[in-house]
Amino acid sequence: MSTATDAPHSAAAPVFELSDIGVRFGGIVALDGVGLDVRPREVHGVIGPNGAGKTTLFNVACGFVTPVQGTIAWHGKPLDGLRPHQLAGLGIARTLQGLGLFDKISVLDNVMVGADRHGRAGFWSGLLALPRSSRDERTLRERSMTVLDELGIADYAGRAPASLPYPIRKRVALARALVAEPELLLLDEPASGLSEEEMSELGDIIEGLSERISVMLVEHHMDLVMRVCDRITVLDFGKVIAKGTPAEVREDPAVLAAYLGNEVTHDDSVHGLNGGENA
Amino acid sequence: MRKALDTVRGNVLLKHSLIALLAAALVLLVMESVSPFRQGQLAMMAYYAIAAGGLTVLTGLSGQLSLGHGAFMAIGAYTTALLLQEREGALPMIVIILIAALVATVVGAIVGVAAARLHGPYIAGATLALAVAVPGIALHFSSVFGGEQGLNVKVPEVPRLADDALYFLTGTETSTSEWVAYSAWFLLIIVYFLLANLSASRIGRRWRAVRDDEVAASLAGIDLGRDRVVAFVVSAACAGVAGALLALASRLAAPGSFSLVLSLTLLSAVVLGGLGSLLGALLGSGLLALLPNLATSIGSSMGLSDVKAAELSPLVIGLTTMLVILLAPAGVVGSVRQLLAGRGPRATTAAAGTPGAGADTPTVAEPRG
Ligand SMILES: Nc1ncnc2c1ncn2[C@@H]1O[C@H](COP(=O)(O)OP(=O)(O)O)[C@@H](O)[C@H]1O
Ligand SMILES: [Mg+2]
Repeated sequence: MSTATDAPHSAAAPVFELSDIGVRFGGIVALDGVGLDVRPREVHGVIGPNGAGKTTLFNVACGFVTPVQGTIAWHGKPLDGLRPHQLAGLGIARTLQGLGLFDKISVLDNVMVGADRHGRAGFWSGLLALPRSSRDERTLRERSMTVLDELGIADYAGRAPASLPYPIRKRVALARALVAEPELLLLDEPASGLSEEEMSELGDIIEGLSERISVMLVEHHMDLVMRVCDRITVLDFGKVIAKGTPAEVREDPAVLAAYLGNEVTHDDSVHGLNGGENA
Repeated sequence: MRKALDTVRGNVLLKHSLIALLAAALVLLVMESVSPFRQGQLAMMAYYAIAAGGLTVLTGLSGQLSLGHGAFMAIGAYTTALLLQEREGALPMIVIILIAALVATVVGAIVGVAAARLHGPYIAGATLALAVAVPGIALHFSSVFGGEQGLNVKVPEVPRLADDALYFLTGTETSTSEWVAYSAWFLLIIVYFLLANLSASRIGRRWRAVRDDEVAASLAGIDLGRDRVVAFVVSAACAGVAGALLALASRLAAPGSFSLVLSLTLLSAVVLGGLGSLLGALLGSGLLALLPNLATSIGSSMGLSDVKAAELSPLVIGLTTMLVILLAPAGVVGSVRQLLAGRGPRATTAAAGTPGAGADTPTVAEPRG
């Protein structure tokens, strides 16, 4: 909730900081000098019209795209050149707009993959089925079941993801990200395809998360964004055009101008959000 | 009783050990009741199955296609042959097999590192090249590898301990070929035990994740490259063991045994049985070890000459594989599982005893172990 009592996040040092990020795809300047910082337990919204560069920013944040300029810092330390799995290992998790569930394994196994970074058993204990390995499996399974339970989808643990309705699959993807117990969670359009009611439940979930971790949220549903975000960064044509609390951003003339003619609140037909990810 | 069953199901080590023991008993029974000729065929089935087991882990679990696994078998076979040029002072058989596996592992690691940087068709191309290159190397350095004729293998005597143990269990003497067949089957059981453990562990799950979606897997913190190389190394080690056993069973390591047909036959075995399933790899290997003989005898009973009849077998293997791919793409084991999953209650992959896996809900019917 972006109430006055939550605002003093500003005193804390940022968890994650992107400064002066530049990304080019051939002739297209996808990001140009973009900077933003995420504070502990902050929900930081990233909004902007289609093609503004939001997904590209996420791709930079989790190591899929290497920027031509700028720096990324995690708790003040530079993160240059780390690969996606290494960033995940630090505690950065992300959900994909395209879900990216593992289709041939069960929902529980999907979530257990997310929990894998908490596993301790190595190759040899797996090979010989040592007690260490089964203890590991048990812990990962319990962690995963807990998260599935928290998200209200424990009943689907044994199911194949493809057999489930879209909103449930979205929750599975969220569970897989959450079970890693990240310090920073990047949510790419988590509300797309959800009903009003499901969206409000999602709002509750995000608010609950912000008591423990930081969240970056790309979302087109302004009701949700305005409700859960502490601060918002607005992108247009790869540049930051506004920053501030939801109230400030809503009144910003530059934002109003950028969105003029864009039917933002009901824009579900966003393409390219996963650009470059499934290459 | 039910509780005991649940304990076994929940405990990987216990479950796989029990299956291994049952399998060992079955091997003793079968081996003692068949002719030496059939024992030879069974040995062949066992080494095919060891290589196919590694291949099904590589291709079915980690999602990397290898068209050249015969090359790793060749490496195992030639290593064995080089170490068994003299019967005097030869190392114990198990040590030789381990060395063969080790050499194949090293080559597998190198190929695996290269393959981890490549994608689908390129891995296939690279492994195909390997399958062609390795027998070529054997031909080129004919002073070491014996050229076209290959190297003869002096199979060591049956060790006293094993001889006594088998005599105690079966009451009959054990010939060298019989001993090789026994070794092949016991190694098969050990290899499958280890592979099944891996498949049920964290790394097995990560392999499946990498296979299903690379991007999501790396976001979950999986080091794609490392896990892929591990899969390659594991499967190369299996092929090395298989090659060693081939050399021991046929008492020969020659380039003709490691043609492209061998690599493709292994792949057929894996596809026939069902990708990613060890049981499938075993069944597929059985089919492929017995098919040539069957095809030949059917061929000659239809009045073909022996040579013509023998030529039937690749055709039959090819046609069978094509039919399975077209009619039952999940393979034998996969299709049976799908059938079973369509009815009654079922156990899910890892979620045995999970609440809510209700009776009328489709579950994951992926082959495992
Ligand atoms: N992989 C890519 N290759 C080429 N151009 C890309 C790629 N990804 C994004 N772009 C371009 O970069 C710009 C920003 O895209 P994106 O980050 O997807 O915007 P948003 O998520 O805000 O809609 C767009 O012009 C898009 O066409
Ligand atoms: Mg986008």
